[in-house]
Formats: sequence, C-alpha cells, structure tokens
Amino acid sequence: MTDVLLHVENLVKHFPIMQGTIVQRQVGVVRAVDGLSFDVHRGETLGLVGESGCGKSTTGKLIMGLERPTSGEITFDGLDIVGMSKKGLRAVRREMQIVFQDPFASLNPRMSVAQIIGEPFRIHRVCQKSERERCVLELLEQVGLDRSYSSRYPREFSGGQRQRIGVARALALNPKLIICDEPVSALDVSVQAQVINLLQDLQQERGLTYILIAHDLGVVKHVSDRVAVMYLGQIVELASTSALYSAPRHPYTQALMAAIPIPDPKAKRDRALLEGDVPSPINPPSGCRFHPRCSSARQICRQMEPEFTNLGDGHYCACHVQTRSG
Amino acid sequence: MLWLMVVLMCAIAPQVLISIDPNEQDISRRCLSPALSATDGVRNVLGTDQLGRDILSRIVWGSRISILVGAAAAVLSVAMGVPLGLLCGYYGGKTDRIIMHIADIQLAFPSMVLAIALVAVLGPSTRNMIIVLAIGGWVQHARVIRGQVLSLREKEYVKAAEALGATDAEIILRHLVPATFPTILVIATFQVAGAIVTEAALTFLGLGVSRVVPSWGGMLSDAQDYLVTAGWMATIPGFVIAMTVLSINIAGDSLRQAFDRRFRDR
Repeated sequence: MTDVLLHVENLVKHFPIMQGTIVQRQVGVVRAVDGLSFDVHRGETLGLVGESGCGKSTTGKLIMGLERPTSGEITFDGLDIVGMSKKGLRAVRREMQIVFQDPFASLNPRMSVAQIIGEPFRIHRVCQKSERERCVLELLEQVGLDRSYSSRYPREFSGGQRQRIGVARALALNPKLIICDEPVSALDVSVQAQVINLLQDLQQERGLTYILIAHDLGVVKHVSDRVAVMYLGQIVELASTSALYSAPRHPYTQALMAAIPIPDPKAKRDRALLEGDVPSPINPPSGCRFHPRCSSARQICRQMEPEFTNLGDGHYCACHVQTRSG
Repeated sequence: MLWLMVVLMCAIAPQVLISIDPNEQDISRRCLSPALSATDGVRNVLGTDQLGRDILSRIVWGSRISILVGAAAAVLSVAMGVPLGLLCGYYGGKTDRIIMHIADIQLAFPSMVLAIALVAVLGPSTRNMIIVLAIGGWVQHARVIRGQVLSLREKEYVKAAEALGATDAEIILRHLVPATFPTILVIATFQVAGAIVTEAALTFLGLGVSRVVPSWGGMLSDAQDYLVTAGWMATIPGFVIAMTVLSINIAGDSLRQAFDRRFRDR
C-alpha cells in the first residue's frame, strides 16, 4: 500500500483573465489551483472534497492532462506528465481515465452505446473490429448493463445507466487510475449507492486506484481510504478517512463535518457554522486563506501562510492554530 | 415541396418537359399574352416575350441556371466556411481572431455592393457568379460553426474523447462535424434560396450570367421595358422566383425541425 502511483507536487494552475478586443492584455489571474502536493498510493481511493469552485475538478483535469499546469510536477507511475509531448500523453492515457460528473453531457448523443464504449479501442487500435464487439459486450456486463443495450443511444437511458456506460468507457483500456469527477452528484440518492457499489466492486476485481472528487462528505467517507480537503485551490488537511472524520484538525474541516446532517431530529449539536462566502480565487486573502471565516483566527493567520505539516500518522494539516498548540 | 420537386425536374431534364426551344425567336408572335388556346398552331401557355420566345419554355430552362448557381454557391461556401469555423472554434488564438475580424469586416459590407464589385473585377459569367455568391456566403458558416464548436469543445463527451487520447483530427471528425452537421445543412439550404435571389438580381442588373442563356433574372431584366404593355413577362418569372425561394425556405425549416426531434436531448 505504500507504493506511490501518482505523485503531485506544488501543482499550480492559474487562468489568466484577458481583456481587450484587438490587443488583449492580462488583467488578472484566477488561482484555481495554487500549490497542491499529495501522493496517491496504488490500490487506494483518495477522496478530494471541498466547496464548489475550490479547484477540485481543475485538479482532476490537470492530472488527466486535459489542462496544462502553470507550474508544478505530476508523476504518474514514474513518468513525468507535465513535460510530456502530446504523443506521450496519448500513451499514458491508456493507464488513467476519468469518469465525469454529468452523465447527460459526457456521452455523445449521436453515438450508439457500442460506439461510445468502443471508442477507446478504436483510438488506440487495440483490437480487431470483431473482437471489439465482444469486448464491448463484456464491459457492458461488467458494469451491470444488459448486452442488448449496445445498439441503443444514450437518450434511451436513465442517469444511472448512463453513468454506468461512462464507467465502462473508462474501464475499456484497463487503466490503473480512474479519476471520478463527482461521479454520483448528478444522480438520485438510490442510484448513487448502486454506482458507488459498482465502483467499489470494480476496484476489488481489478485493483484499481481511484481519485474521487466529490462534495458529498457521506459518499466520500463511505468509499475513501484517505481524504484531502481543499479550500481555495489548496489542500488544508489530508488524513486517513477515519482520522479525518473522527478528529478533524483544520477549522475548515471541522466546520464541514459539523455540517453533515445527522438523521435524528432530536440530536442537538452545537454547530460551527461557516459564515460568509468563499473569497474570490482572483484575490485570495493574505496569510491563511481561511482566516476571514475562521473562528479561531489569530494575528499570525493574517500574515503568514501556514505550512502543510505532518501532525503524525500521516495526518497533514495547514493551520497555525493546530501546529503551534500541538 | 411539390413545387420544389417540379423545379428540380425542370433543372435536371428540361428537354423532356417542354418541346419548344427557349431561344427560338419569332417576331410575328411577339408579346402574346398567356393563353390556353393555340394561335397559328403553336400554343404559348404563358405567352411570349418581346422577341416571340415562349415564356414557359424559358422558365423551365431558366431553372437550370438558378438551381445550379444556388446549389453550387451553397456547396462552395460550405467548403470554405465550415473548415474555417471548425479551426477557429477548436484552436482559437490568433488565427481565430484574424479570421473572425475579416468575417466581421465582410459582414459590415453591403453584400450586394460586394457582389457587384467582385463581378466587376472577375467579369460576368456563370462560374464567376458562383464564386461571388460563395464568397458572400462563407461568413455565415464560419461564424455559426465557430460558435457551436466553442460550446461543443467544452462538452464533457468531447473532453472524454480527449481523455481517451483521441487526436485533434479524430475529435473534429468524429464528434464535432456530426454535431454541427444539421446546422450546416440548414444554413446551406437557406443559402441556396438566397443565392437564387442574388443571382436573379445580378443578372437583372446585367452582371450575371450571359444573356444568351435563358435565366429568370434575365427574363425580369428583359421585361422591364414592357411592364405596362406585357405585364406577364415580369410577373411570371417573378412569381416563379418567389415560389422557389419560399419552398426552399420551408424545406430548410422542416429539415431543422426533423433534426431537432431526432436529437432533442442535448
């Protein structure tokens, strides 16, 4: 389990804001991802959680090579992805895949299921046409869909079924890593469980590694081995699921945990509710980015950016309050 | 629809439908009004023009020019505009801005003036007419396709193809072109109609196809001196042009509806 499959260090992605009609000039940057570092171990599921706009999805796209990072390192299975040519990336893409959030937008409405799932085979020219058909049918079965569905079109399916098709497409080339970008947040709760179970079963069968991007803390708790909490383009806390959920250290994580609904109307809790909005990633606050919304913020939080420190047992946290006091 | 079929048949095989030579002149039979009965053994159902040529026959033969010019101009502007639109939308950047600025400049220019200027440079002929009309038409395709590609490029299924390792060419040909195809078809249909009108107008002004060839615009042009004495010479080709354009537009509309129904969910 200590074998590192994906290593990300100091990953930065800034989107320039351009203005002007004929001559364009840069008037600012959106700091979507600002200095991420983490490892993903072979066979584990790393959850990536945070509010909308905190850079979760951008991180996923950066790892997939769909966006080029502004700076930083991404090493996948010993290969440096950032400096890679388009051709090199093509080869790496057989090894990692992505499942998208919206199962309605991620399947081309003009292609049949067989064409959609067969696309990876076609692109990488891995098997003959006759064999391709067999592979597609096998994949359909693996994701729990009927073989007869292969000639149908995406519009004939429900959200959950479509997401299964998306999973089948991602599985086609037998990748090592699958990035699930909010794979269930567009689905009904009952269907969510089915898809999550499918993902877990597949992981056991094939020894897959997942990065699960989500904002649903319940789902993440259920599936992940370790969880990273993101806030405004940075990871504020990274720990094993049990440690993070039982003893969150960062005030932001604590607030998130307090916001998870408890299915008991009588349960009384004192909630550390978050106030205010997420500050703009164009102009992030100085020092600790969370300090304007943090109840235990001190002077130092406004001035110095906290370091991402190991609090022991692989529990990392970026917070002055935590590192100073213990 | 029926009208369109008849016009198409006229354009494909005029000699089958009508036996009278459209260029046969007979001064003694000039300016006959439309009549179902035959005079002197020859029946001119829609009358004759100032040189005694049979109007029905000229209408039938004239459809050839209109359909040819209309269709060829539309095809040519698709061939110019669609690739440019795809490239601009997909790659963006400097090329995109330059091409789109050219398109904007052309759009700001009155299309008729542009066509007249181009004909003046190239000289009037059927081939040049097609080129001129296509130059006027590529902008529409380039603009609309670029806009569509811009939004399609961000669609997750395109991202998914990219994540699978598809090359740019594969993405453009497999995902973008099929998605924009209905739009291309619909715009092209309307362009056929527009080209027919412009062709008639240019020919009317003496800048279009040769006057020896029977064409609807040419007939209108001939007719202008006889508006009072032989009104049918102008009204008949005018009516035919209007009907043809109308039916092509209706056909374009139903095409669009058909595509909308087929892929109604995204």
